[in-house]
Amino acid sequence: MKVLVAEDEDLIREGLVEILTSEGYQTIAAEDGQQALQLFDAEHPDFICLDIMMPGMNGYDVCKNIRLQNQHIPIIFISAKSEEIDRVVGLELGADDFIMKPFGVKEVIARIRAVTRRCLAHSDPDGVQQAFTLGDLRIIPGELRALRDEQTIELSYREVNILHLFAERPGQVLDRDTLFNHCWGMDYFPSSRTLDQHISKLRKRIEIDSKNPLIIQTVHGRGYRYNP
Amino acid sequence: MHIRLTLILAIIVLLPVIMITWLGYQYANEEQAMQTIRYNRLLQQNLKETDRLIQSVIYKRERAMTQIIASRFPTPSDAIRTLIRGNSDIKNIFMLDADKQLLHPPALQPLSRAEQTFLQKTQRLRDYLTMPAKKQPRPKPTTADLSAPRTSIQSVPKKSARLLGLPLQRKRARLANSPADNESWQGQAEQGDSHLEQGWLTWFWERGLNLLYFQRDRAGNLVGIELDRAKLIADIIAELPENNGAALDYRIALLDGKDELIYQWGRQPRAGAAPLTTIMLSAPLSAWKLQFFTTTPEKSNAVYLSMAAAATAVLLLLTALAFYLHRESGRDMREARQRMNFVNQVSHELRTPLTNIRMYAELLDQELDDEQPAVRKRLNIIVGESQRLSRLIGNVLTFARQKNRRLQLHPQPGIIDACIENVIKSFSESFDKKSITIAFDGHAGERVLFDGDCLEQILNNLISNVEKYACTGRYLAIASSQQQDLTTIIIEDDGPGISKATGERIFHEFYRADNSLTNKVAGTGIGLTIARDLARKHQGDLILLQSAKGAKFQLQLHTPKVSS
Amino acid sequence: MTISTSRQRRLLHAVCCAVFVFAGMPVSAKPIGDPQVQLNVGLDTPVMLAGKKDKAYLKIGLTGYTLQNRGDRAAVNVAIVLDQSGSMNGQKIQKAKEAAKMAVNLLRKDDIVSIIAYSDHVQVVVPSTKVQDKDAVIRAIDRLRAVGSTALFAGVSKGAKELQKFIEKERVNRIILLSDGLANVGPSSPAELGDLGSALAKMGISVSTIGLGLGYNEDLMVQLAMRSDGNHAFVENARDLARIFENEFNDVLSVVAQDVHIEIRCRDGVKPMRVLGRDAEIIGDKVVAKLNQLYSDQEKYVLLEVEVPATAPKHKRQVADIHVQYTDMMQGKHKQLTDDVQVAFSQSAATVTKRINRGIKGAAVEQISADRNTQALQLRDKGKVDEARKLLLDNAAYLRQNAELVPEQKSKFKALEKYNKEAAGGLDKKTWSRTRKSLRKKTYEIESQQSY
Repeated sequence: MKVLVAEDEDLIREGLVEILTSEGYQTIAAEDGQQALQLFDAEHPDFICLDIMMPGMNGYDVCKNIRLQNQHIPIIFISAKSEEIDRVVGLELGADDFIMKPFGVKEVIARIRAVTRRCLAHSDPDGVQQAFTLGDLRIIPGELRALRDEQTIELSYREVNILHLFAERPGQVLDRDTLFNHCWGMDYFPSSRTLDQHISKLRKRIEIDSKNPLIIQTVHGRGYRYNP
Repeated sequence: MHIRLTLILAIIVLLPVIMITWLGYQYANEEQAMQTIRYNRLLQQNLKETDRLIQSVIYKRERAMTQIIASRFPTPSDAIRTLIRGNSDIKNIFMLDADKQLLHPPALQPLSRAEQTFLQKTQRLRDYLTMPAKKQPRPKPTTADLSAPRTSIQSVPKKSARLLGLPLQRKRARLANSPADNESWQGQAEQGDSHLEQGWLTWFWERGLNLLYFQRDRAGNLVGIELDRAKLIADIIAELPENNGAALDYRIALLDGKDELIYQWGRQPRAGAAPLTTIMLSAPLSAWKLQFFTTTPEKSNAVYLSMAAAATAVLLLLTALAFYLHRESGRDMREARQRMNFVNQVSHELRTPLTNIRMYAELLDQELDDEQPAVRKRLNIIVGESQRLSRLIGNVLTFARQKNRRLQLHPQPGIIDACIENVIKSFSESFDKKSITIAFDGHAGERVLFDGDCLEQILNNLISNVEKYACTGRYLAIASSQQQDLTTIIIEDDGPGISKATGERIFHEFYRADNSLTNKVAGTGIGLTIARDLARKHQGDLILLQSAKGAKFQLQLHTPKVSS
Repeated sequence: MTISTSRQRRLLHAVCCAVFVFAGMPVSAKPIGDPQVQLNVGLDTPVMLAGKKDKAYLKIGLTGYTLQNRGDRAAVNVAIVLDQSGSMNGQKIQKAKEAAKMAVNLLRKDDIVSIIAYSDHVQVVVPSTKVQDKDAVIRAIDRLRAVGSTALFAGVSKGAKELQKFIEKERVNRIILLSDGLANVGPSSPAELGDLGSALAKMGISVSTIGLGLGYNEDLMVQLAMRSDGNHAFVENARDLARIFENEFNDVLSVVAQDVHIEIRCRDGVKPMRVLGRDAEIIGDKVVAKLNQLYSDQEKYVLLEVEVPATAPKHKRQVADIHVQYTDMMQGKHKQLTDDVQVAFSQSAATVTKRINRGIKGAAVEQISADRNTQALQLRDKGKVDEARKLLLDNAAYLRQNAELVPEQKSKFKALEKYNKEAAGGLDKKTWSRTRKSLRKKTYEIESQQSY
């Protein structure tokens, strides 16, 4: 999934980009409204994160413009303007959500995941459609969650893809590159540390005991493996 | 609001001005009336003085006539005629004896033409005077008729013949003696037909008012003396003032019964000016009148002008005041709005760096292994503090907005307990540090409509209070429950607690239980205010419950159920 | 020896003095013996036609004696009452002031003068004062200005008041009134002013009236003068004012007798009918008249028309007893004069005619003509111009006839005849005002025997 981020504040933009990337999205960034529109036309993202207060064209105008061309694409406003009127205007213009600064990372992730679910409900040509099982987990990609017994575990887009990969190749050792290729996309060159971190985080989520993982096992020096 | 203020100010300005104008006008009117009355009274005094002068002429005549009649009045007609010829005051005389027979002019002898006319003129008068008292009709005043000389008789009763300042002093006995005025005639006036004894008769004949003086002489004859009218008028004119260089600023005019001018003195008034005041003369000339004219223009408007000036001054003053107040309040409002904008601006400015601090701290946290708990801990502190800063800013904004009544809630479907748990989690680190346990007993798991930010802010304020003031305690207990549309959350700690006395005051703005500089606890005093205001905005309330140990708050919110 | 000598000497001294006194030509003004007022009474027809009731004219004439020396004259108490109404503005007030000033200059130190000016109000310019400081009086006169209306009655009243401050029987008390307009403030009719005049006369005050220009009311002015026994003058041009004032003052300064009471008692069936030219009281057979003053060398008379019953010839009737009382100014004494008149009868008309007293007849003619003038005036007032003219021309004829009959009065009658003819010619609207004033003046002059 491709996400467009428009934010004039460098730090926030870069931070957002990192969060989104970490979630598993292909992220493109714009510094102002004009650039946002150009990128929208060029790259055809799956959803858009817009800041309102931007030089040149503000987020509202960008939203209006986009909506003229595409009614369905999800748009999230991320802004420090938090008056009711601002929210109303934003939502009236066709935004799907409104995140207020200062925001917590987790909040952003949760909202983005919610938006993703909605997207996936529509279409995700690259993504996984069907639910699948992994160990005692039942993973429903469209809802970005996994079920163990009655418990729900929220998953990121990437995590879903990672698990899907494991589920597709049970017993196989998936090395770093494989995982990178499938789950990270062409433009990313994460370090192995990144992968380890992700796996570690994923384990913390889905494993009963993350210290002794049952679903994703480490194969030292080579990668990881799912043992059904 | 602006319009309302303007309206109120307008009323404040206009109402007193209208009142003052109205009262002032009334006062001016009254003053005017008073002044006119006073002035008129003064004028009347003046005119009465003149009347006195005229009366003195009448009085002198009367004395003269009385003397003539009293002291050896001549009986033979020739002697009477000689008397008349030599006395310029007397026009003619008649004399009736006790049997009402005409002694003079002598009935059976030839008379001069003047005497014949005189008898004709005085026929009715003589009849009147000789009528028995009981049959005497009340004399009615009548006006002159030039076409046919008629006589209309006016008897001047004794009492009204009293002259101003010159009391009529007669005694019947005086007729016998030389004139000596001692006692009043009063006592004898009521006896019999004594009102026929002496007095004046006035009647209208030809040119105007004629005077006849009558009196009984020693011999009991009734003598009537017709005064020479021209001489009387000339004497009256002679007595009245003339213009002698000294400039008077008024004019007095004497008019007869036909309103024709007899005499006047003083400065000429403006053409067509009406007399300021008029009095009728005293008897027996009561058909005549005196008029007073002033030559100076009426100064009547002075009072009105001054009143109008005062009202205008007040109006100007109040208007100026109103403008000033308006401007000031406008300025205040403008300043308030500027401050509001400033606050907004500042909070907006603050949020961006806060966002960054938090975001990067969290990102950093994500990259950490579990193997670096110390680093994680420090990061958590950074995050926690940035959150705290965020809350503070949120409080201030809420407070500012609440003041401006611009705070709006946005209820969303959600689960209360989840929200509470989030809040607890954000405090967990700092509470751990202070060794306070948070126990949460949540029974508000239903999906309901509520404003999560609002609940968060309330809880943040309550729990941070615990963090600040009840850190001596061991625990913080939060319990939630739901019933129908009402969610109840109880927050209690085992800190020092809040006394009943301060119980209500803690909710007041800026109230801090201890404001001393040595108080090491940081706080602005608006936390609980905001918390309660928000609770109330959420159609609920925040109250302090009584507790044996520590502080116990009850938060209630209106949370309608959501049909999923 | 010594005592008798001194007594003789004294006696001789006295005799010499007496001789000197009686022999010496009197250089002093006082004539030997007191001068007297002359009383002349008579009928115009002392002999009347017998057997017929007829009327006759009884004249009672009084002539003041001559004043030897102007210094003898009685002291004067005069009030000059001037009109300062707006119409006097200009030359009139100028001339009036000049005249008044000239008059003041004629007065002596022991005379008393007061100046009153009237318009719509009255101003006593100079209150009654002895003429000590003539300049002050003259200055006060100078300050007069003309503005306002005409309160004539009030002016005269104030004048009378001023006079009364120093009124004495020993003084000649006179008001001199000047007016150019109609009285319009206060009593303003001839009758009212006449009443005032007679009241003033009773006090011994006479009012001489001077009418200036053509705007005054001559009836009013004449009534006031007549009833108070004063003089009246018609001054058409203000330039003549000074001369008129002088004439008036000359009169004032030549009064020899005042307070003259004339009583005529008709006798023997003779009936008094009317008095011509004067006010008089007729009570039965008694006629009472009064003259305020007699002037030096002037005769004033009362002309009484009587009806004499038919009488047989050769019979005489007592016509009237005349009794006159007066105050002599020079001697300050009350005096009396008496006389009586008889009439004889004849059957001869020629005798009657021959015996006509021409002087008295002349006086009668004068008075009758004056009476007719008054009638003509009244006719003209009523608009009966032609009748008035006829009357005036008839009057002229009458006067011409009598000019023959009474040769002594020829010139006078001729002048009167001419005057009547002129008046007859001046009856049209344009000239009537002037003619009327002139008529009034003339008539009054005759009736009162005014000297100027």
